[in-house]
Amino acid sequence: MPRLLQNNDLPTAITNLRLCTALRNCGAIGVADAFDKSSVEHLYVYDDQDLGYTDWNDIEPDFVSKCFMVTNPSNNTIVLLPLDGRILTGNSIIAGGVCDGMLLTEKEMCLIEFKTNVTSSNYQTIIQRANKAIEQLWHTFDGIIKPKCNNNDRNVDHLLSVDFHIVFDKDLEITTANSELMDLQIQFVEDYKYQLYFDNEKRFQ
Amino acid sequence: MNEHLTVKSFGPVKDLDIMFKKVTLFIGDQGTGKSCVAKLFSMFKWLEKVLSQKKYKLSYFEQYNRFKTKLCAYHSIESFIDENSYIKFEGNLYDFLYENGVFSVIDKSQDINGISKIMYIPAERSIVSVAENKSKLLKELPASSETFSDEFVNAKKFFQSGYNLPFEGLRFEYDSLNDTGWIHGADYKVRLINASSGIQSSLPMCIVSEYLSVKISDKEEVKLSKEEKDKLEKRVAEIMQNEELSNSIKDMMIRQLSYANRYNRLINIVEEPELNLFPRSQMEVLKSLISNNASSDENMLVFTTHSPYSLAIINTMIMGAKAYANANDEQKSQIEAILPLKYQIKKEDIAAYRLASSDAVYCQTVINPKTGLISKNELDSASDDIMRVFNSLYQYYAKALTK
Repeated sequence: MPRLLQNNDLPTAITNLRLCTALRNCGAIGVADAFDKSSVEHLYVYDDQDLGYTDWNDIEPDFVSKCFMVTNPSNNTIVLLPLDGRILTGNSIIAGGVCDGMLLTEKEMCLIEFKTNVTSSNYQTIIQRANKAIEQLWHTFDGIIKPKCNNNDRNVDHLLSVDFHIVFDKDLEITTANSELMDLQIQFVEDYKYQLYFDNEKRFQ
Repeated sequence: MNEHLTVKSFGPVKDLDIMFKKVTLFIGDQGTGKSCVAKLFSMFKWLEKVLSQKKYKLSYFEQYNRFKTKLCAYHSIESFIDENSYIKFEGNLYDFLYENGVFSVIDKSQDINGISKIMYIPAERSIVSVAENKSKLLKELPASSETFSDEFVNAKKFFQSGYNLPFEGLRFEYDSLNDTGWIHGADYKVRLINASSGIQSSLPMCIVSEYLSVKISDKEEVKLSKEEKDKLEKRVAEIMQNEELSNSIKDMMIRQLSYANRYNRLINIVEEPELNLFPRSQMEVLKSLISNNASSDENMLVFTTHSPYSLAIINTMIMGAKAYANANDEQKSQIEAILPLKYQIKKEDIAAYRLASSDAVYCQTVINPKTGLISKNELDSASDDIMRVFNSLYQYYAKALTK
């Protein structure tokens, strides 16, 4: 994974949650070796098919329609944690689903699931994939990260605001004003009390 | 076809330079001038027709401000003229120019190859469905709406055995004795005046379009008044008795006279074909209009739309033609099974323009030059605006739930 910053010191966002301990032995590689960090204003997060896990860049790629775009106007340190295929692997861990990646600052946690390999704009396919993504996102947070942080006396809800994002290829133009996706957002917030978005972007505080 | 219109400073039309193709569509916000442009096109095509039929002298509309008081007034757009108005229409037979308050006509001396039947179908068309026997009501409408109303009456009489609407298996029947229209569904019957707004809006549009396209296919002759018939007979006699003309020249001149009195194309101009219709019905109605347009090579269809479904449907029709053009024989028949030829639109036959009063560029093509399809445009960006508002409200709702 190409690094945006050469400084490998553990960022505060990770140490605040004691994530290295919480997620120890959950995957092929630990948090300390898997993370990357950056404080630039614009970042492009994507599902790297060649690497097999989530990566990012500070330069807009050709495939920008498949990217999750991050705006960081305050130049906070943002940490990228590739979960699926890196930090969270192994059948017992991922049973129930695991999402692709996490972006973390000292105040915010953002879980992301990419469905950019979906090429069909068929309505039913999109809803099916969106529901699958929700399962993956929720299990990753509620089934893995939150309880493991709790076990280390770290209450995620007290420390951070958390939101969830599902990323489809923008060129399919399927996430514009789609009433059923709006309904999924509402269901998610009413069931879990967290926010879910389909708009392929986030502006950090 | 391939006529060129340039307009500056004419009501809502700021600055426009466009070509009309076999299918031409306009999208844009309310009040941006879509209908105004469509009305100008209708007006010039009508003028081209009557001049080629010699119903008026070339100078007639150049004089006494008749461009404003007769031509523009027919479509109720005369108030759009101001001191800076510039309008130029380069047609096949004539060029028309309005500049500095003066209207002029240039005869291009081209051969006439037939006459256009021009039909302007207004957005307020549902009024003809509910105005049974209320001719006084119709007289309050602009002249162009009255013309449409007359053709609706002709169309109802033409389809004596009934007319199948292009959606929901509905059928229209006209009781000429009582001058009453009925809509038949699978298990019900309702008077047209009591039918849904979608039916009242789409029936007149569909039935008139089909009626006229059948007339054109049958190469119907223009109905002439007694005076016009007498003039025509006199002209024919003059040609035949002129010993200075060779037989071949006489033949050619008689043929020209014949063309000038026979419809060979339908110029169908429709405001918002999607009005009051569910998306699936919008597709069927648009297919019906495109199919009527395809029934003759010379037919043209111009329409204005607010519907993103219309754009997606048109793109599907362009896609059909592209696939067909690149297919082998076996594939062609498979493609035709999905989208018959009569619904396919070749990319060279379509023009699509977005009009926007608030943008730096008032009029832009929305056809992707590489693909020939309609590309992302303002209608889709409205979805982004909707989602932005939704997500803002969603954040507040989420915060309230997590308190």
